[in-house]
Amino acid sequence: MTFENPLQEPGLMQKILDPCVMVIFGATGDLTHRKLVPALYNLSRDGQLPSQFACVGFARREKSHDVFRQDMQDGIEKFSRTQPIQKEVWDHFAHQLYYHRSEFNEDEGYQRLATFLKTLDGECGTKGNRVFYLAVQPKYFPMIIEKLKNNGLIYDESDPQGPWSRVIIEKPFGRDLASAEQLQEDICKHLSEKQIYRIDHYLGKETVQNILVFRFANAIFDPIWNRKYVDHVQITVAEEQGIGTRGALWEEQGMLRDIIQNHMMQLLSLVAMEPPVSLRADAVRDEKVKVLESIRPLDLSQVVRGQYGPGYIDGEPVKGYREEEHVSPTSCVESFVALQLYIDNWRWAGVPFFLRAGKRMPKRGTEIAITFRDVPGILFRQSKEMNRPNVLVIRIQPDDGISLTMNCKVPGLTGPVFKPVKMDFRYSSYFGSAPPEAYERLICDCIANDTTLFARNDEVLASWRLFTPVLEQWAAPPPPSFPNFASGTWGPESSNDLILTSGRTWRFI
Amino acid sequence: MVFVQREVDVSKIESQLATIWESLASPDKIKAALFNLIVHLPDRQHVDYVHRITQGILKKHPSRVIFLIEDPQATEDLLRTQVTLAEISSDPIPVTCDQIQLEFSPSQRKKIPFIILPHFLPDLPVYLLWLGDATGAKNLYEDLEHWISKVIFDPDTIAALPQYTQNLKDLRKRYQGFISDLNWTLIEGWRRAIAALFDSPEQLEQLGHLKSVKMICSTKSTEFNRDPSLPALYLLCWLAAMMEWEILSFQREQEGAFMSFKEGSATIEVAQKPSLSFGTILEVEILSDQGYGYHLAMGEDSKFATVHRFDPQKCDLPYTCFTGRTGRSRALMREMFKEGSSSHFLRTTELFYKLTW
Repeated sequence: MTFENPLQEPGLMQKILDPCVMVIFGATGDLTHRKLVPALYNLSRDGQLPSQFACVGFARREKSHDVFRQDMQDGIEKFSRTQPIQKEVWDHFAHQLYYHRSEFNEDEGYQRLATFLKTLDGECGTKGNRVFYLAVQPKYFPMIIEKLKNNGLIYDESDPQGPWSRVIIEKPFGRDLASAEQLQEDICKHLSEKQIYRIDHYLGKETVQNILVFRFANAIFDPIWNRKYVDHVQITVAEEQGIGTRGALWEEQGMLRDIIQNHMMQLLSLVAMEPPVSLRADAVRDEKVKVLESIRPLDLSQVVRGQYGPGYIDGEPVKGYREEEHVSPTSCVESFVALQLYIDNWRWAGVPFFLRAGKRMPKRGTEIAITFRDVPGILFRQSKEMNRPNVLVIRIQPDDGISLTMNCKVPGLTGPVFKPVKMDFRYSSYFGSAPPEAYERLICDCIANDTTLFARNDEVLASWRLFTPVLEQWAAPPPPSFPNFASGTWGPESSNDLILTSGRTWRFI
Repeated sequence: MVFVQREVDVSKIESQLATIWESLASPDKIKAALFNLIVHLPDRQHVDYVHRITQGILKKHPSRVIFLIEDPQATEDLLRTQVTLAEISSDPIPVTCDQIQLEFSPSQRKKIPFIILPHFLPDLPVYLLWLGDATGAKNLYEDLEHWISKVIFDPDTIAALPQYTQNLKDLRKRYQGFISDLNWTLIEGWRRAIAALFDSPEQLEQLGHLKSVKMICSTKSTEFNRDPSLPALYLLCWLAAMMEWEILSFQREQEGAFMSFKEGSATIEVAQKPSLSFGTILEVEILSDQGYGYHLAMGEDSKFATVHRFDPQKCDLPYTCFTGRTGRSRALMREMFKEGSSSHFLRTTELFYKLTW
């Protein structure tokens, strides 16, 4: 029988989280330094971490606990969303940070880890609960998970009252359908699906979570959120920056694997999904999977790839992709993708969805733009330039918010002349300073055993089924003629042609 | 925050706010409001306090605030109105919100609902923060109750708590909205810490074998006569209410209190720690007659407490836990965003009724 604590107030927004230890593999890497530990610090600052908590960094380099704490303090000072670092919060949090040196393939290292974690259970009261965050390359996932299981660090959890263990893995979940299936098979030898938390950090963003609230907590939008009223949907993920020093990683991935297959598909499924029957994790994820499985196999002629060449950003010259560090001078890896797809279901049949993502775009922005069908034009027989359709834009970043463009009459005596005006809601105006970072929410949810904001295996595979044929075609000769657009422009001409043939144009974001 | 303030006639409130708004230089200014907040003050001595806590909220959540300052000392018919446009941020574009302040004598009280009703921003929730002597709760503005989503009380003194509870009962018979209390919200961190400490049947059982409870809180002079042991008394009454301890007696002592239960006894002491916020709970110690002990002690920083737990066989290693911030702005903000009336709070107030001495 479940114990009901009369002192725990029902309906409180913040749950009491179970005590636990988080072990971060790849503790000396960029993700831990810039995102994970600053997220944990802010959770501690806001009282969101369990009282009994410890974090152990696991990596190959030789380091003491104190040196690791110092490194993490540097990261928090540079990358925490809250500044300046608060000494008393840091002092409390630093005592919860530890370091464990080992190679990923060293059995003895895992045995020492198991002993160390048991010691922490006694000292910190963490009760044997474990979160293993694999902030490492995917090729290490199967080995690490196997070693964790073999050394008793991952449990089979047959006793619901006993301690629990969970593993968080970062994208990419495979390189294509076959590798994703293989990865799933390898990790499921040692873990059940409910122990696997696949992070897509876009789902942790407040504005992405707001898509569901916006759609399903406002009655006026549901009746028009379908093919009868929507002309088309554009989803854009644009970045000003190039690939920087991540050339080696980009050469393996490209834009399709980095953004389109995961983040973009998450945004698409949230915009297109049916209302779930409840807010249970699987109820929401079931609806997202249905969207992905309804997408018509891609017409490969409607998928455009590009690679940025030299150009100008903010008035400064920048180099092209092939001149970046660790990139082959004859690289055929795409830094830009645009495509058109259709969702063949009752709600969206015949509505084109235009997706584009690129590096070295003129400006940074992620948005979802829903353009509605135009009015018949019987009353106001205007030319197209004067009568603009209504557009609802959900801005994910920067300057998150929602805007609606509508037509209004221009005051004066010159007849029914009208212009589009914009109603604009900005998060920053109403909700003050920066909201919690995505990783803060996601780490908390994992400890609380809430999988709503994590990708499920069938979601991942459905997405790979869609894009693997594209990757196969791109891998085959002849090679593309790259670069095919200048940095600081909105992509290759072929991406304009893609949308122009439908009689539409890309939005300026 | 930047303020532009003007004294106006009651009939010119909106037009003056519009005039000040027009006079702002920037073409890209925004006026924002997330809710309407009415703040009732029983006298002028609470004014600085209430401006501090509302400014803390407006920085994050711009809203229209209506201050109602009753002046019991005023002998003639006093009704003075002031409007303010507060610029709460200017980066990247100015964001402003409105404030309206009415000072009035008791003789003008009956006019107040009629004056402020047209100035509620439509389609936004209305919250009422009621300060001061909790006995004033019976004098809530009945004509406004229909529009108020939540009433949040902020009582000053223990002496009036039994009457406060009676007034809450009377209020709940006619008022359909939600009720809360800032002192209650301020102890949320402690309640969570104690709930986590007794989060198993074995530990919870010890509260059924109570020997004693001791709480120590800080004292600090305030600009008005607020009782420093109020938050600790709320915490103690909460624990007693949830564990269904039977109160036998309650005694006020010098800035503290002593309570006896059928199950055990409890004391609240006030310590001289003027560096900390008023009424901050510093320590909580719970002992059972089975030899179990629980000790939570706040650090100087007032965010984390060190927890020691022992039983006849062993002494656990201490750990630290978060007991929450004591800022009243944040407490008020959380109460406004929280849905409903807390069932724990309502049960706790039942015990206030028994605090007679």
